[in-house]
This record gives sequence, C-alpha cells and structure tokens, in this order.
Amino acid sequence: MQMQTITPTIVTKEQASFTELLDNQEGIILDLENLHYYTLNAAAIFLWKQLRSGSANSADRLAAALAAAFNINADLAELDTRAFLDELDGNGLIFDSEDGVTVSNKALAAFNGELPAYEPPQLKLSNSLTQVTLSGSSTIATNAIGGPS
Amino acid sequence: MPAITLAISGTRISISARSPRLIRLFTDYFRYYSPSDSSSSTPSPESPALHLELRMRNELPARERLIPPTAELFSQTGVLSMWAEKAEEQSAIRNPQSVTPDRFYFDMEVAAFRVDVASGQSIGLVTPEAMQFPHILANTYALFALLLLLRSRRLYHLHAAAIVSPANELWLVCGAQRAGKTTLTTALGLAGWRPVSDDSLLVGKDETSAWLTPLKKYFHVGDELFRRWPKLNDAPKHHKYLDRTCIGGLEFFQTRDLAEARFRKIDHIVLPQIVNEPASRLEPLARSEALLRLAEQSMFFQLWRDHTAQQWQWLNALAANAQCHRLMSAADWLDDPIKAARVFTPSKA
Repeated sequence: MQMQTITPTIVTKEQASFTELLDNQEGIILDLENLHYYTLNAAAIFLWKQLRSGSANSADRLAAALAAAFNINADLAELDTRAFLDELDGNGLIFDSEDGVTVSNKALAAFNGELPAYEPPQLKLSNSLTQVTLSGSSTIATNAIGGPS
Repeated sequence: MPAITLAISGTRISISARSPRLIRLFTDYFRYYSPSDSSSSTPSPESPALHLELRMRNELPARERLIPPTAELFSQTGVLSMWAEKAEEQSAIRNPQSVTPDRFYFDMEVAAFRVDVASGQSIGLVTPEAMQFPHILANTYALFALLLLLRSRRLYHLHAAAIVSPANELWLVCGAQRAGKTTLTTALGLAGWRPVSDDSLLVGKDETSAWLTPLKKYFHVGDELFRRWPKLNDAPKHHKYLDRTCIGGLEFFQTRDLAEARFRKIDHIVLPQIVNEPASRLEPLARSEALLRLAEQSMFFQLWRDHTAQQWQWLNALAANAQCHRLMSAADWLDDPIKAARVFTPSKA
C-alpha cells in the first residue's frame, strides 16, 4: 500500500494587516496581535500577495512565481524565497497548515503594472508601535513642572 | 452640580464640577464647541454619552488607595502614569459572574483620573497644584481621559497639525513634541495658508468614508515667535504657561468655519526635522515611514485591537494618495515665513 504524503500549505497569519502603498514597490504589514510593523520591498510584496491570495502556498511554487515575475534564474529565486519564508516564519507571520485552511484574499492575486528591478525580498521590522506613549501638546511642559514638591 | 455640555464630532460630552473655576476653565477650553450650561438639565434620550466629573482635593490619596492592586502599569511618560485594570480582575473582585469592561487610571502626581470605558464616565481629582497650570490640566490631564473615552466611541486621536494650502490641499505636519508643528503651522498661516489645527486631529468614519477633523482648540505658540513675527501680536491672546501663549489661531487665521470640515483625504504628510542649514528643503519620505509616524503619534493607538485595526484602516484610506515629505527645517522659517513657505510650492517660487 502506498503512503500518501501531504505537503503542508503555508498560511499567512490572520492578524497581519497588509497595505500596498505604491503599486508593487512599497508595502506594510501591521501585525495586529503584537503591533510589529514591517516594511516590504517589491519582491517581498510579490511573495506575500502570492501567499495571501492563495495563488502559491509552497516554497517551490513561490520560487517559480518569483522567477517568472522578475525574470531571474530559478536557483536565485529559490534561495531568496526560502530565506524570505524563514524570515516570515521567524517573525510568526506564516505557519504550516496540513488541513489546507488558509487566509485567502483573492483580490491580492492580480499583480498589475511594471515591477521594478529585482532586489531580494526584504522585511524590515519596527517595534515602535508596541509601547503606549502618552503624547499631548503639553506633555513636555508637565515633565518640566514635575510633581508637587 | 454645575455642568456644561458639548458635542465633539457628534459625541455628546458633559463636564461637571462643584468648583466654578473648573467650570470656567473647561468652558473656555472647549469654547469652539459652544458648551452650554447643563446644570439643571434632566436626563433625556439625548443625554451625553460621555461624562467627566472633576473634584477638587487638597491632596491626592496615596497611590495604593488611588490605584487598585489588580491594575497594571500600562504606560509611563515623565510624571504621567497610566494603569489598566482588565475585565477579569475587576469581575473577580466585584462579581465573578459579571463581564465588566476595562477601567483605566491616570496619575499625574497633581491630578488623577479614573476612566470607566463601558459607562463612558471619568472622575478626576484635581489638586491646587494642578490649578497653578490650568491649561495643562485641561489640555493634557483631562484630555487624556476624554481621548480615551472618545476612542472607545470610535473617534481616534491623531497628534498632527493640519493646514490647507492655497491650492486647497490638506497638509498634515506630524511629529513628537518640539518637532516644530506649531511653528510651521503658524508660519504657513502668516504665508497665506489656512491652519485648522496646530497639534490635534480626530479620525472617524461615516456612511461616506473615513474622515479627519481638527480637535478645535487654542494654538500654543512659543513666546519667541511673537518677537520674530510682530504681526502675530494681533492674534487674540488668552493664556500663558511656561514659555507658551495660547492664541485664538482659528480667529486670527479666519479658519473657524474651515475647522468644522470633515476632510476625506490627506494630500501631503510632512515630517519636520530641525537642521542647522541656511535654507529649508524637502526630501521625499517613504509612505511607510510617514504612516508609521502617524500611528506612533496617535494617542492610545495600541488600545483595543479592534479599534487599532479600524483606525489603521481609516488612516490608510485617508492617506492612500498622500505625498510624503521630510522637511529639513532651517531658521529661514523664523526669518521670513512667506519666503520659507515656498519650499512647499517650488514651482511658484
């Protein structure tokens, strides 16, 4: 009897809110669970949209799509894709699902317009939103006053 | 008890206090919202959604009496501390079966506030020390409590100045304290632009779209600017605290009507950075950074994730087509604001 192997599907985190700012060139993910803020470049946006739309949910498929979209060789695409997936995984933005359940936004599948010259996918993290700051026009002044003596 | 009632972007608010001085202070602070005396009003279906009650105290109770042990320190900035008491902890104390909402405590050493989000009520204890700087009491201490309540009603704060250009475009100037928001706003006003706020806006949404409107209040102008720009002395002056004077900026720049508007898109976002150079200049700014700074400067952005998600979505919609700039801001703004303002409209220079 032949065993059937199940290839896990890569699933994006549901709380990751994605915004594309300039067509295909600048994107943001705000993780609404921990308020980590990520900036994405064009290749990163491309891969994220492939994942989020359900168009490609495995490393092989993602690498193939990246190679075709940016006209780069397959080896480089695979290397960069796996590195990017590791980074997403390390930040808790993706996980493997064996039941095929995925957050899917088909609207993201379309990739219109021209892509810029290829640069490896980048995910830049900022933690500055994780802390509540009490800001107000007079906050500095209150600090200057201090408390009662 | 003496009280005033006003509405901010459709949300009715009452402020009550036995002290006539406190009532006068808040009547003045919210003057652009035309507060009415509601001391004798009986509750009606249109009763205010939010209540702020202020009580004078010679001194504040000890912190352990002020803040329950179940509350956790949530944020601390200078002398301002904020605690949050989670629903489970409250219910465990009062009634294990009940589902109670979050409660917040602010301790500013000279004043303290408790905010009950579900009931929309806040009680503030105010000491004579706090009354030495009444404008700070209103503009920082009490405003924190009110902004928290407004947030729970889906009215979100944005710490930014807003100015309408001669081309009728909305420019936001965003940055932390002392970044130069008020200086830039005032300078642009003198250069013929129309400032509607020097530091605070509210973000909301109606059936049409997300919108942004000024939190209408005095402009807090640094005293040095009156020496630099003599024309500014024609502005109605109201209070003075430390090195700042509160002026009727909306009257002076004739933007009271414009400040009633709900703006449905942001055309430009500016992050000023003070530089020691002969002339100011603009550099392009990644929109991702501009949006991050806007979120950072939104009071309580982190509170209640469904509100965070909502606010983030509305901010993104408002700024969807905004051009973003970093302003390397030089002393030319102080020397000649009309000339310096041309940095924003180079083609007309």
